[in-house]
Amino acid sequence: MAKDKSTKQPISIRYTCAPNGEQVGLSHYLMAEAKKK
Amino acid sequence: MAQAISPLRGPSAAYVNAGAGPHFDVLEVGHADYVALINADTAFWVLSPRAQALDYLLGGELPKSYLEKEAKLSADLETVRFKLLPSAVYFNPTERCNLDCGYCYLPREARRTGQDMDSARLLEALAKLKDFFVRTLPAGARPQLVFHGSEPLLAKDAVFQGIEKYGDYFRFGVQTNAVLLDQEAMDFLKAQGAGIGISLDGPTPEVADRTRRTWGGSGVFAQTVKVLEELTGYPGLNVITTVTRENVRSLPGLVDFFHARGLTNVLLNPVRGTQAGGRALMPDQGELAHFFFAALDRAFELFEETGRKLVIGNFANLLLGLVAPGARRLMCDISPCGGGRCFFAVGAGGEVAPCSEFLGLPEFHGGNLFESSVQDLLATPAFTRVTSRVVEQLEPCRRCAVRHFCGAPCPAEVQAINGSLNAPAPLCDFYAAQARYAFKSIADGRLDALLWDGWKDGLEEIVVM
Repeated sequence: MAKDKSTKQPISIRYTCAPNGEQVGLSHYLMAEAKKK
Repeated sequence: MAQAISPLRGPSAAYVNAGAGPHFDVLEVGHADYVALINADTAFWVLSPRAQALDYLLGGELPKSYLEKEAKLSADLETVRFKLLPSAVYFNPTERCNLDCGYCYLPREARRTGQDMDSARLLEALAKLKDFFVRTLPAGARPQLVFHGSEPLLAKDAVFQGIEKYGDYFRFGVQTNAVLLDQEAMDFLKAQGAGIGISLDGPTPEVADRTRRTWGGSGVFAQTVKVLEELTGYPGLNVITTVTRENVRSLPGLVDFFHARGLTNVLLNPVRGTQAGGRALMPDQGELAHFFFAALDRAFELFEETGRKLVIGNFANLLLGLVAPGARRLMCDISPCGGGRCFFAVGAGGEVAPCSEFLGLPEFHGGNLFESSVQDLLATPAFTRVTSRVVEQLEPCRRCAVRHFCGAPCPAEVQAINGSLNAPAPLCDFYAAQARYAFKSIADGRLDALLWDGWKDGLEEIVVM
């Protein structure tokens, strides 16, 4: 374990996402969500 | 005698950076208190307190905790890099454009005098695409289809017929310069729930009109802003700004301009050098980094002041690449890029390319939608050349700690500039700086402020340490 040299804690953030066929995955266009009236 | 520390394995399961032990790069991220320790192969990272970085690297906890989750981290990245299904199409219903923007990725002569796809042909194309997606995507999935350009509203009748007929299946979007987006057209697209992307390159006509002009040389800033203001509050609205040497210094001001108009989503995309015009307008990388980060800082300040977010989508996507690679929404900053594997492009003559950036490069056309099956087109050498381009095979990318947060974009401009796909991004220094800035933003506690609300929804946390 690292020595206690500062009060700062390490930061590590990682989430996983199951592929479901609805991943957006475009390039230079961002699909914002709207609903059909 | 008890042996406290194995001479082979060290204080944990393995020594870092030797043999089969995990490899960690140390990256300066420009933060007073933190540096990044990165396992580039799995895109795993820890922000370590600066004074303790060596202790983390040489101690037992980090390598041990990492090795326990390595398989899951690796599989997660493998999925988003190689196992996604195509689920989106860029569809150019016409080659023509009413503007002559200096940086367009489509050849100038085609934009001036090219062909349109008529309604019957467009409906036939959509039927064919639907058939492909119904067979390949899970039941209930709704692929995206973005009418793009050139200017898609020059083929408005055909486009609107397509949206009307297939609006219950595809999630439609239209990327437009807004010149032809009259009230009737806006009402139609809003009623259909279609995404509307507006192109605007500056907060004033003096800036915006430098690059976006009619063939006669007139600017369209006023018309574009009028439409933008009429669409305020529409949830399907987003704006794309192409960043060039002509507007790069205006990026912070542009953030104020968009925020004041209630926008929530914009892309500040550095221009691609796929065509000569784009290459001539590429910004200096140092200047780009300076003003792009200033724009991000300004968006954060405005959020702090007003509680209202303006998400810079291309940067937000990079943040997602760090914290949830599989949830990214854009696929330029990963290798292989999304071209030809997550999405593909269809031109006005039915020609199919891995991405619209490649529509102006005929050697990358896989064939024609009306003559071949989509499945066959996706397997052509024109496509596999792009879908097999990985950073592990590029210099200097293969030894770069942020290679999976950059992706060495974009293969089309790399090909156009180098005559080969085997070269790094023309804006390599900028993308590396952007990754460092992303780590710094996380260390500063800005992650949620710079990402879309609800970004964790449906995700599962991988706790390493």
